[in-house]
Amino acid sequence: MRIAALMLFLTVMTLTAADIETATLDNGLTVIMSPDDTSPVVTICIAVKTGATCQTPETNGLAHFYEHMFFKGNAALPDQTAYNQRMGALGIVRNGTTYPERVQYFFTLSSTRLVEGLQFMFDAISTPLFDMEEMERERLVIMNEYERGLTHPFNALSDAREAVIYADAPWRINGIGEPEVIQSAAPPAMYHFRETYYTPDNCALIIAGDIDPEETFRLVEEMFSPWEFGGLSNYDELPLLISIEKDTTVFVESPAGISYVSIVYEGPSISSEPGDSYPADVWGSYLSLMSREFYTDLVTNGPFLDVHGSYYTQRFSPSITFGGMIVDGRTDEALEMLRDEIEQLMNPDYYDDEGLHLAMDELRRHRILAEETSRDVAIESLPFWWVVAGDLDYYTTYQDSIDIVEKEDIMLFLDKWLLDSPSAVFIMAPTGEEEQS
Amino acid sequence: MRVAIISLLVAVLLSVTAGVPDGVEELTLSNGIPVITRTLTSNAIEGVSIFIVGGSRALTLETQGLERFALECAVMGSGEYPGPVWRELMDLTQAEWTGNFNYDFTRYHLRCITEDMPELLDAFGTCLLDPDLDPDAIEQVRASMLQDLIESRSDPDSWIWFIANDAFMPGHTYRNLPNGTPEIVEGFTEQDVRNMLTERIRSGNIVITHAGQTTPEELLPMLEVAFGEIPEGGEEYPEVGLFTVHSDTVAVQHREVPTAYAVVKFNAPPRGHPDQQVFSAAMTVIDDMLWQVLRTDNALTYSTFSGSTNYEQNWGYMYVSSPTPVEACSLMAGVMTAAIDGAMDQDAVTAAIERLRTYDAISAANKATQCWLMGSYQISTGNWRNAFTIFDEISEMTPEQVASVLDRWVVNGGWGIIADTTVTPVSDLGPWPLR
Repeated sequence: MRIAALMLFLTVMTLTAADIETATLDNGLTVIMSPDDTSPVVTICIAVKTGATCQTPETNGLAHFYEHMFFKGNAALPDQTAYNQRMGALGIVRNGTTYPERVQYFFTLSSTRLVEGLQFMFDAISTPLFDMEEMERERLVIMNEYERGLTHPFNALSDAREAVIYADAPWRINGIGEPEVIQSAAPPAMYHFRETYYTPDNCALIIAGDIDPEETFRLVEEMFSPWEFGGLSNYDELPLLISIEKDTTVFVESPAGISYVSIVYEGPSISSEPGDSYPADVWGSYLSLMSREFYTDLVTNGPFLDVHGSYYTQRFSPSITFGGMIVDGRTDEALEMLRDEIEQLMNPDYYDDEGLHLAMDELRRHRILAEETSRDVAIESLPFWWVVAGDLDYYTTYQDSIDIVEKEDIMLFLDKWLLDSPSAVFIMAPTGEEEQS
Repeated sequence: MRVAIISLLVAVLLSVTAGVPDGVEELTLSNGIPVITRTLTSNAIEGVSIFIVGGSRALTLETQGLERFALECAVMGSGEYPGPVWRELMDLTQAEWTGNFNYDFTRYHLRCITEDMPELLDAFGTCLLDPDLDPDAIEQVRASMLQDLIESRSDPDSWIWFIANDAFMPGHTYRNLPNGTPEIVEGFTEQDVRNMLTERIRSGNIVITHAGQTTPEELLPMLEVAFGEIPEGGEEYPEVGLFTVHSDTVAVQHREVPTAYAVVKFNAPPRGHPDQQVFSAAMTVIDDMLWQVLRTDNALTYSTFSGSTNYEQNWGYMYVSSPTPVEACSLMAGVMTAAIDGAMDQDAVTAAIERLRTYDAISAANKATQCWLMGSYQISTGNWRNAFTIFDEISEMTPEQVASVLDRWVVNGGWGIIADTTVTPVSDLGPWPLR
């Protein structure tokens, strides 16, 4: 695609923490810039609306496989060795991550090499080769990543969670995927992912650090405009994934001796019920207060070593989760106490006004602390909110929306999502405690 | 805590080398505690690290984990800030306290908003000097440490580093585990905690570093209020002995795991040695080579890397996970052998230097990292400036220098391996000579 005259406008938004400027290319690419001259470094991140949630049983693991292939040969660099050498020459620090609801890639390098960094990102994102020999080698690498996951002490708990909470389509939450799919992955499936999701209209390019936004945008426009519009992504139309239709209890044996309990409910999707997410966050923040009942009952005076009760903002798999590690041998007591505490959460008197103010302030402070560096902004905040919320409006108006949450909003949220709702209980404990539980 | 008479020495330091940043000042509290502060005005986040020199050196086989246990108990609350008040303060500020317990020191790092720093420092100071030591809180700390130990030991990716210690440093001071063992942690008493705190919380054992927008003039009174009453004195620890691996050695732990984990440790220049920075950079070159050979060329692993430590006595290390440990470890050793033989070009060395420059630039914006660098280099090399001088020494580094520094230090390797020995017999599992 060639773009003759671009209609560009930069929207400047001042936030509590990071300052950002956004624009959209004619090919649909969202460009987000966050200038910060604290250090002569820049982070270039591409966020893609894809991830495990776009998978089918036949492609279970291929969103992640694709992420690996991003770091291999492309039209400018014929193979991974050339790719590695170019990264070395540019002093690039890089990574890629496949989440259930997004995939992102980033390069951090000296801001004096911004032009080369942008070119490197363009070549990698828009022209991957999917060479069969490189795929053959990479499937062994990914299998080792899979095997490493199996040795993690919480792996069995994670598997149980996927099977129960996302029972309708567990492949839409499973990032690493199934071995047989990994073993048989081939270029056509990669091309399918590329054509469907790896197009500019389904991606955001985030550039944060020591940059001049105007000049940076000019460079981006020049380099990324040839990336062809796709229009095939079905991401926004994907159905809700989380589904807890009845009360379920699952016991997971922990040969290592670790004790952990969690209770999970469905939560509001940010795409269909964004209004519910604000009281949900204030409520979760209230429960994290160490000076209030939830913590003092369960940790200070109870069997938990730590505890959380919180809402996880997602489009397809939003959840409300309670849980924590438990003092050895007190699993049953912990589960009973946690259930009792959840019942009390429905009582308005459980929440005091001062605590609610603290909870709201906590969210404000949390954002400031979470965005200490331009790199944090580029690879933590902005990709998450752009993908999960669909754009940055939610992110930029978030604090204002939090500030007007009232206790009544929280009680409505709890009535709707917790009261009499089915839950999934997961108990991980050493062998021998199953019969008791 | 009340301020006594403050005698302050503020010395503005001149940058003695090109890499040392502006805006770093050294201060001294009235009781002699040194403070190194770097003014960074980028945002309203502050970082303060309190380093307590000791670590494994302050422990014996019988007291492994006690330093951590005592300090974790102390920060549960104090006479002035009992548990509920302390927790309310944490709620109010959303401050983050991070503890790090290692071979040479313990470090508590505070990350907070500027306006909250004075009270948080004051509260922490009272915890060190007048800890509440509520019996329930002590049991909570014990239970938490025991769970951490269980989790760490059950995760082969975490435990492999200690298996390598069995091979590399048997009987050495650093073999004392900063986090202890379940059996030992079970037995600690309140009196053990009090004794440890009385002995360890001395001005001569403490170094404080800060990074943030608070100026030295504002910072000093805050620190004086918080830490100025810490008693003088401190311990002189005996020098940490050399690692004496007389031959290539391997320690193997059997587990039914689908992938093996392997780490090899070998001698590296001790603190302050002229080779230390070049060796550290050389291990970054090795890191790139491991990625190329083990992952890119041979697809034997998802994760492989190398590096070196920065303690009083140091080691280099290489790590790999692989379902075929014999092949992977053999190649890993081969990478080191090839590097010692000089099998690399200037581009490879330059790439490693460039990557280190990027890491350096990333860390310059992060207060926690700045605090860590200044404090750990102050303790391990006696001069915080060394945290910033690496590029003075490695900017022009050549393949010959890399080969030469590795040749001087890398002799015998202590290998640790966790593997399913019913699949790969113990007799096949090394050790693999590094040269």
